[in-house]
Amino acid sequence: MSQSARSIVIPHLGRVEGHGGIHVKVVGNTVHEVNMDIFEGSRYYEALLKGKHFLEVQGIITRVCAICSANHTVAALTALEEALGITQSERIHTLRGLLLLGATIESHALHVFALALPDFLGFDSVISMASKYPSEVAFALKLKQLGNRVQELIGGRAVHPINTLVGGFGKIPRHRDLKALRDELAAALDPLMGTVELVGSLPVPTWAAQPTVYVALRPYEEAFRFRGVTICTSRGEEFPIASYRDVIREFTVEHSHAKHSALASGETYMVGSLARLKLWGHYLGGRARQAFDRLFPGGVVDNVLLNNCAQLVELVHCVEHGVEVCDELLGMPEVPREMVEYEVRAGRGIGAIEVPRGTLFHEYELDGEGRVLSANVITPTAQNLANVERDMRAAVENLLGASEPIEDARLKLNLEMVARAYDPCISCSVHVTRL
Amino acid sequence: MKDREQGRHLPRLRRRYPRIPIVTTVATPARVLVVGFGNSLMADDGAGPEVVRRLNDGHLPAGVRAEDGGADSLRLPGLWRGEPDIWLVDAVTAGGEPGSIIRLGHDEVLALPQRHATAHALSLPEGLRWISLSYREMATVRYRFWGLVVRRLSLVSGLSDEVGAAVDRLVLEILRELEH
Repeated sequence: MSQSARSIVIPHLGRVEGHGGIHVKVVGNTVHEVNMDIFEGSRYYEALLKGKHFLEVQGIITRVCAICSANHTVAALTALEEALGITQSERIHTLRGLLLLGATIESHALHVFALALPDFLGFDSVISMASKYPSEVAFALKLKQLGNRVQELIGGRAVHPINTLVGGFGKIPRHRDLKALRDELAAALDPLMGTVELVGSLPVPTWAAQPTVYVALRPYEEAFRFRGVTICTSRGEEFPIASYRDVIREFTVEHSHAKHSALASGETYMVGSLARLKLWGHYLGGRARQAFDRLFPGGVVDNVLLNNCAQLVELVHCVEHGVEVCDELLGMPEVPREMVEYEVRAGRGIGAIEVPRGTLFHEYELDGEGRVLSANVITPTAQNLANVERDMRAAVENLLGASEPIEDARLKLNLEMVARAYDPCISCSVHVTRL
Repeated sequence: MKDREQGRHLPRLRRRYPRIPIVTTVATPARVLVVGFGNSLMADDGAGPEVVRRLNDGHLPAGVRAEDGGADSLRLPGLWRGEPDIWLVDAVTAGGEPGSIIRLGHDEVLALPQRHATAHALSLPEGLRWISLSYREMATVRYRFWGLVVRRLSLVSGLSDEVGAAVDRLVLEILRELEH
């Protein structure tokens, strides 16, 4: 007897131009196919960078992503500085760290409050959520703006930072501005912990849970940090960053424009907040530790839907650590600018940093005149894609195997929840209004 | 000369005429913030930033600012300086032939379909609603919207001929409206 075939199609998940999305084919209770197609913009930027002078790279790379521009900027500068043999001064290193915290605050605030939380609270959008949670909804946007303000102060302007330069900063933030920022960050901690309580009271479904390999950079010091020195997996492996092309095997698939990734063993893996907490959560302290204990009472368990909770823990960490970093900067003498002197030379450099969605790699090779011979960018979303499909397959199988039949609409929502939990970066380099 | 270049120890300029209080009967110009959204590296998506660039290259009336909003409309509160009117310019994917200009009023722009622009961004009307819910001081802002229908959206720097011509027309239209 032939079993009935069932196709679940979500055509517009984050695709501006409308082709792609999620496609699942089910026969009976068996999943035959799970495909997620996305537009992965950074690949196209690599070609655009070839032949450009290294000083032009930042202006281009900052436009790869609307919400990750500071992250791409720091990764690119780190790689270019390695290629040019530049060692960052302590202040530059610290300021860039603060910039990364600001970018993570902006990104996680938007994702946790506006994109994930409505799913868990049963609302179709953040706007409808405001009817029951008006203060949380208002706080969320102000938190996002606080992340923007960090980037504006350090990057020089709200959109497309210009103050971050190879070798340093054009202008160092004044102490009075840093003090004001510090106070704003400190004031955000209490309401943020209120959100931790709210999220901690929500049940997190387990239909997407399955054993997962996690990958994250080992922090450069024994603390929870977004910059690291080696690539680590949850299986206990550790690799030099320079070997990232061997550790991360990229491959093409017929159904997607974006490359997928797997470890050399062939296993898919997850990068991002949950991975960072799995590997380095023991380094968290203060309020972030309290948030971790509230949301992960038994430690990190395999369930991609918990990535939303992991982002919330990281939000607390970023705000709390942002205060500490401001204090550190306020303890340094005030100077108008700081640049490391360097000479242009041929070289190759890799910048690997942890960004909101996971580990981001930038690699550049420069000729003797400082022109880009080659560029390689591997984004967290590209690394996660194969794992997203794997988790979707498991989710559908679990849901179909449940005692009660599940309707397509429910399956679609649950699949979207899995995709959203990864917080994928999909073609955000454009801003088009659809009429 | 060295001191002059560094801007220090310059002699104080003697005021040649006594200061005269200026009395004018001309009404204070309305304060307007013009924001162009988009990415100038993505072909016609750069229409909004191009309108802003052209406005800033010209002579904007007093009380009017034009800002590049990048690709995230939720950054609007960071660009806002208390202007009662915000005029938005963005690329649009429907509504006519490439190069057409769609003009919407306050209520119309808020009534646009609320579909997520990307997986981690909101649609423009949803973003504007969220802003008014979070920033009470912005709740009374009146919006106008101009959409430029795109021909192409790809990683190419520069506008298509149709959208380039539309930018010319739109800059004049905005300047005309600012006069009234």
